[in-house]
Amino acid sequence: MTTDGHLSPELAELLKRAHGALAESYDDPRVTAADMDELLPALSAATGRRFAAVWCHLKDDVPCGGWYLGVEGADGWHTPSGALLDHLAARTPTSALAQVVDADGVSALVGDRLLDLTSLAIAEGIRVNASNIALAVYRPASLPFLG
Amino acid sequence: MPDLVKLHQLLSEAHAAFHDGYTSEDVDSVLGDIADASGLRLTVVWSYVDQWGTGGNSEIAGHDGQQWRSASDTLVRHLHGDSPAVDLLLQLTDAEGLRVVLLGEPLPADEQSSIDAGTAVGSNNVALDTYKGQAPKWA
Repeated sequence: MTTDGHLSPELAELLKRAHGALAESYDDPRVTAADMDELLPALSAATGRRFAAVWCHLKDDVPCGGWYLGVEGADGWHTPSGALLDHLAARTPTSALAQVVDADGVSALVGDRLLDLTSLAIAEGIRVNASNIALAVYRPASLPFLG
Repeated sequence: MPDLVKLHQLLSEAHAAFHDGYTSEDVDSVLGDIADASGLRLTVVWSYVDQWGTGGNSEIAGHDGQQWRSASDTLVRHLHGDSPAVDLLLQLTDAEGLRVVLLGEPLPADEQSSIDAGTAVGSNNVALDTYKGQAPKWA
């Protein structure tokens, strides 16, 4: 970031690479914790905000199942901004987000504050690494009788 | 008093738990802890139980302390994995809001009494009819 909090060349390049990085929707199993490891540490470093994926399950030490993105702030966790989600899903042109961040600073990447309960649940979750948090250990239901 | 953080964790764990269907044992395993943490009586109402177990149609319902209600669409879709986990998890607010998030409309009066008169199966299942011997031929 530059001193006024607007777009640095590093963040501009990162945002360019991140365009469409999470093109699949929430809970799409094609998105993995490894995808988050590729994207979120760099995004956190470039913005000074901690981005993490919050997963429903931890199975064999790997986060899986439903997921959503969170941004940690001093007042708890926030959603990513709609502009960032649209960018990650490639629903907006590649350069659109960079223009917004250049105008408004990195706060343009941060959305609404999550409810206190959600922040508490994330805080109680399993911190797999800097980019991935699992809310619960996977416990399989028994398979129904299909005979 | 509901343990809301525990409930959040349990509901996270339960996302898509019924994706491949469910048995009465699954229901006890998944809904039992959620019911305990929420303070709501959650149950699956089955058409019948016979020597093979529960069968027929099934519906998730919950008792809010006054009456039986159908489970909310949000909860049903969450348990079947038909909606993103955020649709339910990010709606959980406080104890007062739980009923609205987890439960839907009151069931008709005749269904209320049928559930109350049904046969309890395990901790979180009720069967409306009981068959001893062979299952009914339409099952």
